[in-house]
Amino acid sequence: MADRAEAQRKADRIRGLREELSAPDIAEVLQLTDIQRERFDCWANTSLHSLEQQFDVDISAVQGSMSWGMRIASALCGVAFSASLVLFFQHYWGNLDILPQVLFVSAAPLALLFATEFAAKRERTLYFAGLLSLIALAAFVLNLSVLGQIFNIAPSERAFLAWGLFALILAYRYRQRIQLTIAIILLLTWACSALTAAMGHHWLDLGNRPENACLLGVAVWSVPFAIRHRQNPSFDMVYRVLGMLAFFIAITGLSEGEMVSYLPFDTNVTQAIYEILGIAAAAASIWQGVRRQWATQANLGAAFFCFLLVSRFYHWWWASMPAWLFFAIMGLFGAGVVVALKYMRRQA
Amino acid sequence: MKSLIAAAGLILVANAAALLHVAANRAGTPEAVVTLTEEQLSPVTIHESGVDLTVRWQLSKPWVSKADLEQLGFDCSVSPGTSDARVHYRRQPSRRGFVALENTPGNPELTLIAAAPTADILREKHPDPNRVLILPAILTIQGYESQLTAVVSDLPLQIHVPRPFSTQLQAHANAPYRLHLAFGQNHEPWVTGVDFPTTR
Repeated sequence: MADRAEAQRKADRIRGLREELSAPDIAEVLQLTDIQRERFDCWANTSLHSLEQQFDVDISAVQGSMSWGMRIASALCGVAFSASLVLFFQHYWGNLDILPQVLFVSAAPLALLFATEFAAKRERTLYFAGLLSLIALAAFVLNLSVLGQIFNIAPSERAFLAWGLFALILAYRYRQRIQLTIAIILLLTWACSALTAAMGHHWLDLGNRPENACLLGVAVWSVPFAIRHRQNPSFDMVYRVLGMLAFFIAITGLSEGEMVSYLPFDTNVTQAIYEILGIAAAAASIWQGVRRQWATQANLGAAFFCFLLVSRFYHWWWASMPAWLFFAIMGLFGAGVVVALKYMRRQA
Repeated sequence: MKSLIAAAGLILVANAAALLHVAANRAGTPEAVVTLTEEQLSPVTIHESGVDLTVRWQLSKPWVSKADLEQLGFDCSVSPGTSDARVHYRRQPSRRGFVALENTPGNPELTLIAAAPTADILREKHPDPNRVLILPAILTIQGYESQLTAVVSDLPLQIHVPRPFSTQLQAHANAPYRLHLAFGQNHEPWVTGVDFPTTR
């Protein structure tokens, strides 16, 4: 068995099977003898116990709910401790000379990194390792920000690369989806800024070139095709969702706002092109999501499909028809989407 | 274990790169050395993390010509004030460049006097390093009024004052002072001294 997620799926299957076998209708069909039932219970208990010992999986519904609570609490703890670290340093660093300031901020992320490793070695569920890894990342962000402030260094996009790579390493080492999410956002910010700066503009004007974000979004979405996450199967979904969000938010900006585009056309033509491209891409992602059973992709695609289409309808008709008729058409359109999705669901 | 070493190495490399950047900025003769009075600086903000100051500056109008803007990479082909000008200039992204700020004795603010794509062009035109600061800046063209101009942002004029100078400023609260600043090879400033003249 590769990882805890796979072990959890196996435990869930065993629990489900045990519940089904105890249902009266199934019991009537199978007619298990007492010996057979005892052997099954013995096997189920041994398997679940073994999985619990080996991977610390949830072997009951109550444990599952509590695990979610622990995940949320550990994320909130990470945020709270990170804020505490930053505020603690801000409170005292005015009393320190430059050398102790530099030593403290440089040593803090290293110390927290090793603390994360220490916690990971002692805990299979990685709740505390995840929490400490978030604080280590916050300490690294504080580290470079403080160095910039102490020495009046001009802000640059390169810091996002360092923070993004650090978060990416932590995400893969400690199997943390939240770290992966942060890493992808930081690396996308860096890549957009670096491209903007390379074109001679200010790196913070990254939002003025949404086409860069579109291409980078597609690149992020494609990562699971190039890298197989056997150890962390849930990482695929993170890449797909963040890639889609980057792509569709940028497309929405291009189709709705007066953004600067690489296309050599008037604003109206550029907006129409990107609206059509956005609608087509959203339809394609719904189709692929349904086909491959990627529910999150299908839902996200449906949300952007509706948004972009409603926005197109608004541009076409809002000024030229009564409001009641416009909303009636919207209602019909919504019903049409439900019918189409129902059909695709049946086909899947 | 490899990824743990990579994460630790990344922290060390990022810190080393930042400190080397600072060393490179401060190496050799400073690019500019100026003395500013308390009038040319924002009121001392003393907070838990120390003392920060901002240098005051102003525009001299008109401070930049159409030729300067074209040299910076802006497309100035549309005449300002026409119907197309607003969209034409609004759609042009900001540009990185350098600006010259003049420190005139008695003037409560530094004055923005020129812009160019490189620092060398400006230093050649304004060679006095004790009077004119050359700083990196972000320039955004504006052309929907009667003339073309550029808005300047992101000037590195927020100065963090380290100890022992910050403690001196805190000890002489409200007293007139002079802040000695050096700007290095990367045009980034650092405080070299503070003094408190008794008479002015």
